[in-house]
Amino acid sequence: MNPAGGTEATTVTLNESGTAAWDMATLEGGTLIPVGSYTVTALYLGDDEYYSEATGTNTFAVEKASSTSAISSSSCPSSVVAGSQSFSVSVRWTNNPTATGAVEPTDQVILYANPYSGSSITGTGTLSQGIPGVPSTATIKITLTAAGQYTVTAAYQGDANYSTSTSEQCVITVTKPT
Amino acid sequence: MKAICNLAGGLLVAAAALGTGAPQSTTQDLRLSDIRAQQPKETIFASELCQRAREDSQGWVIKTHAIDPKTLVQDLNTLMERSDEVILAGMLDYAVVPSPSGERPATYTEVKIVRSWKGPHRAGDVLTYGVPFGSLPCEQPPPSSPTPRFDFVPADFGVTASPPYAYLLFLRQSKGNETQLVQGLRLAAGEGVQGIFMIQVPAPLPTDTERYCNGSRKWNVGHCNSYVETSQSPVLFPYAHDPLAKRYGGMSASDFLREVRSVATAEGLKEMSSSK
Repeated sequence: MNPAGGTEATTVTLNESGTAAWDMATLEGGTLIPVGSYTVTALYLGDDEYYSEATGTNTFAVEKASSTSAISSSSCPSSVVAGSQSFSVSVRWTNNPTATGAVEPTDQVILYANPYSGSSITGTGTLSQGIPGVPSTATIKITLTAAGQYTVTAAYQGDANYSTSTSEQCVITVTKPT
Repeated sequence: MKAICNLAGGLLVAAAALGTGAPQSTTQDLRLSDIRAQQPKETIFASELCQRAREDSQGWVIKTHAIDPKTLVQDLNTLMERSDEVILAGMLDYAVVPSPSGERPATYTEVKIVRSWKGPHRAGDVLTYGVPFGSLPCEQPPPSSPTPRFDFVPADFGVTASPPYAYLLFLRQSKGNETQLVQGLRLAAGEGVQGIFMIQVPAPLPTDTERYCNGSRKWNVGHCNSYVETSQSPVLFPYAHDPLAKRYGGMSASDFLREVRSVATAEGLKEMSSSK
């Protein structure tokens, strides 16, 4: 297998039906294989009696995983008083990874709060790495001063391993302070 | 729902520390295998949390929890005093299951101890601790796509350095109502988020014959120990508002370990490590 910048080889044994299988994860020591193009070359060394040496080559691409973004329901009340409001945004892999050691989505999330009239208010936050089983969320604080309804969405910008995604809308009503 | 109704039947009694000079104590050890046996995937799938996740419009319930600042300790000495076990460890495996009360997920992590300052376990031992938070995937074979999930996570939690890590853990036994959220050992303070410090270790290269402190059971305790001992990587505080970060944030891992050793010595505790 030939990832960009290096070649790695492993030896596998043909079974009775003439097939050999290998697990790509074991080639990389169990870590995720980076996004990129790869060439796989199989070299059969032949045997002493019947078969001579032979090679076969194929290429494949490792693509970014799909991500899913969401705004925490606990940070999306139906109604708030005008002022500063924090939103927690989570981004996960869309499908559970089959490989062990999968990293979580990281990098920037942009929050958009769109009033029914007027210009949108934006804020940014950064996703980091949590601990195993307890993922990180991005906390984004924005100030909603004008009373009225807002639709809030979060847009994940993607990173080296994950593609972009946009959350479902959170609808929030901002009321004037009493 | 009582998800882990009674793990006592599956609890093992850890060997007391004999002849080490450390206080002898007996503790109940949870095992990840017992937790998984108690809550197989079918049970998790049928849990109330997973039912709520499936009923959600996007199949994903996310609840964030703000940690009560009053539950955080302000200094390392207090954290040490409150802990039943203080260890440096590498992760082996983890599982997320519904908590005993069924109200939120709990994450149980199995670690191998590299160094210990307090508690009955020693370098090379395997220990499981819990965190009363987690992201619970709700699978039913074959897995649906995407998998519904229920997240209950602390706000402002995470580190910018990428994995893998070694973990410095301050743990205590859950007590009273806490056992309804997570059983056995838990992080000592901050509602279960304070008492974990992370040290970035090298990701394995294809040519590596040894791994550092993380992943499979094949990594070597001594190898991990010697790497961390001299690591100049900053110690990482996953909870953003951890008061200890004010004093120790940015400190190298090796210097932070010296601080821990110093606090342990002041408490009459002896560091136990392994080169094997």
